[in-house]
Amino acid sequence: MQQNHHGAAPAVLLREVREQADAGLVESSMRGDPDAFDELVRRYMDRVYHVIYRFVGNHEDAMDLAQEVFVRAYQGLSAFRGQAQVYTWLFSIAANVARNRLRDRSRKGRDQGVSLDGLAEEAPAIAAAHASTHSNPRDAASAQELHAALEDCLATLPEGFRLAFCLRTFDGMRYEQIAETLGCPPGTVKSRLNEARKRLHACVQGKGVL
Amino acid sequence: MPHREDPCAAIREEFSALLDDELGPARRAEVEAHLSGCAACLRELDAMKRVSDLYATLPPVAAPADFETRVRAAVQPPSNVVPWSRRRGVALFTFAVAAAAGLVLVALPGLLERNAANAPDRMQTARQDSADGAGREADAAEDKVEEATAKPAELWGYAATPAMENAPVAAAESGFDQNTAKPPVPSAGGVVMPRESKTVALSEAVPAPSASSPMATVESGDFGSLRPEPERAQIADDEARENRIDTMPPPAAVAAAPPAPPAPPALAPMPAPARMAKGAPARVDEAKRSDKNGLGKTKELADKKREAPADWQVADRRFVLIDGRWLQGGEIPAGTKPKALQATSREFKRLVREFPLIEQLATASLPVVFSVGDQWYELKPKKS
Repeated sequence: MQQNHHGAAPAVLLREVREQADAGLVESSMRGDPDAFDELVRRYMDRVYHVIYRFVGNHEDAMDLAQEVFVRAYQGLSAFRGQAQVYTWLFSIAANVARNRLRDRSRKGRDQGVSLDGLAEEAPAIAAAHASTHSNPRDAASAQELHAALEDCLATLPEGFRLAFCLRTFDGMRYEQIAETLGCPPGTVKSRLNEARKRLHACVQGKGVL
Repeated sequence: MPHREDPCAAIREEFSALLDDELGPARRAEVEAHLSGCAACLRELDAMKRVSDLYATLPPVAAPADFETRVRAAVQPPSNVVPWSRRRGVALFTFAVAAAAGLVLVALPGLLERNAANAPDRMQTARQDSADGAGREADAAEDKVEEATAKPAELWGYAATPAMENAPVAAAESGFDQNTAKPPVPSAGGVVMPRESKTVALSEAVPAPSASSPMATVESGDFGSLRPEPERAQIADDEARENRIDTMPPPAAVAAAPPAPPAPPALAPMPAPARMAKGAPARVDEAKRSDKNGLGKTKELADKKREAPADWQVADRRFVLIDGRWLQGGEIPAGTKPKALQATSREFKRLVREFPLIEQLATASLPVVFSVGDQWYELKPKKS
């Protein structure tokens, strides 16, 4: 691999630069620079939204929760001391708000049958099914079924497993970063991911997908 | 001690870490050495890898276009940004529409017939050229529709808003050309609807020059044409973002549409055929793509939309531009049984606020039916 004159791989160097830039944005935000916080939001909103969406499984909740993440981050700027990377700090907020929402939802219970929310939940699978790669309606329908099955199975995972799986699969976090985000040892992350994948495999296989 | 009796168990606990390249060199070598002599573990590793690969195929989902604006408004109040809670209906339907096939409103062309008086001059002229008999029947139909008033308030438990009351006028202003719209026709082979009798009443209420379609519908990318301009533009931004991010499909019916439509004289240039096939004009798409910040270019987007022609007639199919989306006359497939989509009165009010045409359908006691992909839905009141 190509090395720079400090001996670090370029990819690693880029990550460090980005992290330093993140920290600078937080500092500027704390000094009252609104553009800096806007930049922080722009930088992370898609990643945060994607993980939350996969965790809660619908756009309505994902929108509310992702917005709450950044509002809480803004309110908690003064508490950010730089011990954590900015994005693990943001994702730890995201994990908390998403867990709380899931618990609230399970306490209230869900309506039977199709609801407006239910339609929104169906839409992503359909969207994926009709992606440009599926010019054939049969292919599209099959992709739709596949994605729906995957989402259904993901929803069956316990929240701890699901969070670890979403952070790893949909944001590509390393185990150490997931551990920092979730506030647990890396060994726990490893065992949760292992168990999550085993359960997902069983579920997906049970639906005839694999 | 764990795993003392099953050497495979300890190895299998490392499978995720192996797949994610999180094992140290020594441990990795141990695991690989075990795998080279254990077919059962190899099969399990393969299964785990396959399920991981499957989940990696799920498409990325990004934040809505106005997300940044909303966060800014939330951390720096006050703001005149519309609260998200008011937009949930929009987001829901926008997403569903962009996702798959567009919305289909039963008998919308018939309902819009009564708004002809306010249509643009070009449409007025065309209407005058049409058959007189059809016009007289349309008048009779209008009377019948108007007789069915105030029903939705009882059904859905809400009071009509000023926006709802203005809906007919606004619908006419939206540029829907009723004259060429495919009218609903009663037919023995018609669609079996949950509220069949009401559907029949609609069919009777609308002129029927052609007996080819069992039920007239409008497939659309959006119900709404009646929102205030700034909000419409903002919603269009949402749609653009969601289209881009979710790799939204072309609405099925529109994708099957014929090639480039002929350009009406004295109107803006036609979008490219490829764009048409994706259900939106190229000019609008281009504006949407370039509108990354969502705010500064909304006016530009609105201007571009205004430049587009209001309707096209292509190979016996008619496309009408409403609120930046192309609606297409179509039919509900015979034998379709829409799934009931339950909405509370609050949700319904929200939808009506955003898509006032729903109010018109509900007022006439007509079913509100639309499709997402292959699945058809009918909006119904949720029983408490």
